[in-house]
Amino acid sequence: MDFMDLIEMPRVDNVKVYRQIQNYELNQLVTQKLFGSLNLTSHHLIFITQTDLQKPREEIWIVHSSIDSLEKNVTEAKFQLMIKCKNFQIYFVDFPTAYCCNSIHKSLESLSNLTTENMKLPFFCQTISKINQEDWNFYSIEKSYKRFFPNEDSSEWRISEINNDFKISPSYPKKVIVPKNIDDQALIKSSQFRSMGRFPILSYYHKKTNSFILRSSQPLLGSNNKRCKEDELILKCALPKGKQGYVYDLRDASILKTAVSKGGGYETEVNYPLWKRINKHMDRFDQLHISYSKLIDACINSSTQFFYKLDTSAWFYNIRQALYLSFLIADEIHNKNGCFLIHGWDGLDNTLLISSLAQILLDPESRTLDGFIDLIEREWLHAGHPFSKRYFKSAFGITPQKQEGPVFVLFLDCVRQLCEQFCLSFEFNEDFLIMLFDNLYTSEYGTFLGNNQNEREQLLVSSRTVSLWTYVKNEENIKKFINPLYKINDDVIWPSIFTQSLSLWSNLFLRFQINSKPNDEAKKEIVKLVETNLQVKIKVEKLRNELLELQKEAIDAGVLNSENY
Amino acid sequence: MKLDLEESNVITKIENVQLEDRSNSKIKTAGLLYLTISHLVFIETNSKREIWIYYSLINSIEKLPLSINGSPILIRTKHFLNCLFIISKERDCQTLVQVLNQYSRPTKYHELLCFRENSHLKKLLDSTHKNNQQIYHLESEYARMGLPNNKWTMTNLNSDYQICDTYPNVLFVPASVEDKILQSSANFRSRGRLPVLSYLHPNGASLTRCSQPLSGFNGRCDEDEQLLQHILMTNENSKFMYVVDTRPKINAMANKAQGKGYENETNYKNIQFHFIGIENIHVMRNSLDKLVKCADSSSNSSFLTELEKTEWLKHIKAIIDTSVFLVEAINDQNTSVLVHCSDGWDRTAQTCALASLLLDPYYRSIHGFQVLIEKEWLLFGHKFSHRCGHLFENDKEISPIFSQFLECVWQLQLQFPCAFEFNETYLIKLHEHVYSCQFGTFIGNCQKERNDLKINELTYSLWDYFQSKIYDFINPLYIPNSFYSNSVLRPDTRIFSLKFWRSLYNRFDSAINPSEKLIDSVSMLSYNTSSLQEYSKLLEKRCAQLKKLIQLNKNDENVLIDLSEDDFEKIEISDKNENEKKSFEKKLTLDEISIDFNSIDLNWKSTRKNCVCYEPFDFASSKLNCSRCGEILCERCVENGKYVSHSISPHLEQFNFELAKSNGS
Repeated sequence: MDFMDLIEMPRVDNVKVYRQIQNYELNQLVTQKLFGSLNLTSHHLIFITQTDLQKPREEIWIVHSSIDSLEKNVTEAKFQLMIKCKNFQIYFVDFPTAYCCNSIHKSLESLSNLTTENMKLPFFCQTISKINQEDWNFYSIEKSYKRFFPNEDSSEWRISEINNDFKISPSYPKKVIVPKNIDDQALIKSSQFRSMGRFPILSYYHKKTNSFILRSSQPLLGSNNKRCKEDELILKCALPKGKQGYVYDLRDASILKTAVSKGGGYETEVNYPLWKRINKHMDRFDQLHISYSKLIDACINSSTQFFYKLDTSAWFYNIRQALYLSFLIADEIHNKNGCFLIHGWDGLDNTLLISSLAQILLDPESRTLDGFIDLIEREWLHAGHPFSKRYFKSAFGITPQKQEGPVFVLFLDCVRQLCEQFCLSFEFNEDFLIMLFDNLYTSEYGTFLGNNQNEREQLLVSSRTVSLWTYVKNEENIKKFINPLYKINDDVIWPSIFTQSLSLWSNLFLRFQINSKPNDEAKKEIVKLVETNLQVKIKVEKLRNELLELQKEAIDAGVLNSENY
Repeated sequence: MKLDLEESNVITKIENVQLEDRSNSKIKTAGLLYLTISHLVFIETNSKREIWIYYSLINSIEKLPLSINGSPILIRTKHFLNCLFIISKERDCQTLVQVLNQYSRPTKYHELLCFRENSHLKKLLDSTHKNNQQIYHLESEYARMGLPNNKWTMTNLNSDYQICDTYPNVLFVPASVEDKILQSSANFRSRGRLPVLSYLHPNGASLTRCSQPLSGFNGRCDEDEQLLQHILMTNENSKFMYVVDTRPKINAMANKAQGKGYENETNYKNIQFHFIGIENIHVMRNSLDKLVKCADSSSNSSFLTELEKTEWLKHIKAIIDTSVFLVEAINDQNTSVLVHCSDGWDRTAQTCALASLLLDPYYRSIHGFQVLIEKEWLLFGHKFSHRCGHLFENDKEISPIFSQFLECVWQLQLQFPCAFEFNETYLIKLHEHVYSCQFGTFIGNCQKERNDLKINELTYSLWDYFQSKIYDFINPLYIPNSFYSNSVLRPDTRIFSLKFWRSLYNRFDSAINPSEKLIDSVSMLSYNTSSLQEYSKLLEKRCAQLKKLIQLNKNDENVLIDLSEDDFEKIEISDKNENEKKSFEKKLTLDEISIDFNSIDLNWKSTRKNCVCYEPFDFASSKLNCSRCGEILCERCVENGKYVSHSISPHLEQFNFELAKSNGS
């Protein structure tokens, strides 16, 4: 299929575009009306205003894949298309004729819903020269292993390459960390007993207390109560003496029967005697999508009962629940003797959310920019979170398969809540999280393409597209993402999870409605204050050294009394 | 404010008391309760943590049903501290309730704290500042607006409060108006509160305020109508003026039946009449009660729905919206506005003060904000003692009108972080001391009453106290000459831009507030910078001194060295060279250098849960860094100089000085 087959009218003149923009002077939203022509290319919808002597030419570029939903409103007098974008921007376009309107609508419907990964933007808009392999290899399991176990010899864990060809578990990475005493054969058996072959692997090792987090998918008990000796052995071997194991099942206990009847199940206490099972409910990704849609609806149509609408969206419930569960895990790991196996259904969504949040609480490393990128690589990309499916549509749309679910958006919001409560302990800032959000849905970079490492390898993303981290690490860009007040905090952080402690992510969810200028001014002022402080410290250091030298010189010359020295 | 227990007058002590944790009722800490003549003090046995509660701040004392541990007593304060004490002996519990009832319910002004001897404040304030409160003269504030001029004049008609006892003794009115018109207008207005000038915009449009007319169903007053015409005429830029009744129309209608009401548009020439529905004091009081309950149930998962039901933010929105209307009329349409509600001392004070703040950047400075409160609230007779319940009187008069104003300002601070010279802590502390009765500033209901009580002579001023702690209140992000601090503020009043004021309503719930407070660390940073700048000057001086010393030694006598580049002193080397050198050497010893060298720590601590004395910090706690070790100290450690090994940076005095200078200009 060629893009050109989808484009019937590459250009329409006499088009009106309406959008809301901020009038900074009046601190008000005003509707801007632009007149010009619309151009359709393979990846962009480009609107160019008519040349006018008074006003400079304006261009609006909309990437097809950033379009979340299209609504056509054709009456006898009006031929209008409403374009809702995945980043919550909304445009209204008035066409001169019904024909143009229908034609552009049809083209955009197809272009914005292309499922073929190969046709996506990252494969087209980057020059090969920018591709930096180092950024693609930012994460390596060996590095993680070294960080968890500085002394390899005494470690009870090993790296297994059992999934090297993605056969055992297509959504797992090639290499995983497993207990040393478990051989690959046992892993294969266990993988056959777990949904999608996702057998228990090490996710995080807390050096300070030698406790850890494992994650997997649900065991496939089924109605005839199957069991798998090897799977049981993995959990038994993993748990050191003196530790209490907890299976954190992110599903409500009431749903387990249904799970069993569908061939799934849970770790029974009889077969896993050392492990205590705890069921904690988290909304599944499809429910979360509904919550997200309601949240954005409340933000956009906020005139009445705003707080009530926020509440009923359950978005804050989900944030609280996620932070609360990771809090409990961090508490057990750091202050008590708990070790964890986390899973829900397939271990692709909430499992990753909870495990990565717990790590942010526990591990100061993950609160640095590099550490956080490492965490995203390790716990989301390499862990097989289906990015392509989950973020195909945003808050306004959904595909018939209903695979959408903003689990990673919830993750970003949780991290932002933590950044707000611990404004000194994170090296990256809110803008970094918003940048991640934007690239999640539509991106020039290949990082979030595909649903797992296997797919990304087949697409040859690392040789055909540029990594998002190449963009981040660019000297100019990285400055924007650094928290100027960051100070290393080696402690575990304990967040507050009362609703009063949480806030709506205005800079994201209300980004096209509020005036961010006064706050940007404050941010700049903070950067300035930090800079001045640094300068004066350098000056003081210099003067101190100078004084010491002079003092020495004076003593040598015998002009300064050195008796007391 | 915390004192030393030894210095306080302890009436009685209660042992075996438990304090229940706010966020987890299972956690209880054991301790002792002391009842002094002014405070309830709880001291935890293990941590030595102290909680000091002024009797005057106590809002309610509630005995809860007996439990196995003893008798629980819930004490709620007006600044939103809630303590649940469990007292093991029933008799102790009775004593407690009895003492609290006796001391926390004063019925006469002279029983209030501010009239009592206060050695703590004496120490703090007598030496440095004295009677600053005298500087707030209404005349000087109007002089700042360029008054009197040919349009507006000052009248002494109320010099003995004979026209209106709740107005100040000096009033500004149109220059063209005769006294008898003013007199008659006053007679036609509720409680004599005739239309007078509140704020004059440079464009000629004025903001005037009054109470409702006593019009009943069809009463009118020729002179009152004339007065409005005179006000209209002072502004050449507009052919009409607005009269804004801040009440809901239905309330104003109801007042008609009592012989009061609102202006009839047909009787007054060229006015446009507007109702803007801000609810009355009773609605506001009930809304706050609900809000406090909502904030209190911290485990409440439907917090947001409950918040919606309190309608609190809807009321806040109404106040800001009205002020924005006034700003648009005056600034954008060059049109004067007359504002009133019923008596013109609640909603009128809120909206006139807020509109002034939005219009004029001066009121966003620390000094200007105090002037604004003095003018619109204190001098124009907001009934602080009635609204805050300073005395044990009529409950129905209590209403959080001034608190709402503070909250509106807070909402503005949130939207414009660089536009205010003062920070959030300033508002929180102001809120506390409006109720605390420690200072005379907010005692009484109008200027006349405060004069009668001899407030100025007998009590300390809150403004003086604030001045002595000014370092706590500076907004480090304030940019004096930026767009937002220099121009009219246009707040966003859409409901999603208004926030729940967590740090006030949950001020003492440390589990709810963020562990690391951004603005505190920015403040620390900016103080650290100014400290280090001072310090680098000292180092430069020492370097120069040493250089000179070495130089002196090297050079032969009789050589004249020009040391003019040293700004601190000039030395001519002459025959007396040797002597000079000796005295110089004496001046500078190694000890001295090393003391200087270590007099400051480069990297100050930015967050802590406790002071070095183990005192926990609450959200609005005063915190200062010791410049020598970088540790963070609490208010009491700073004040008492208890920990002599710490030094509060010398730059602070200079800082005060600079601030005073900027205020004076």
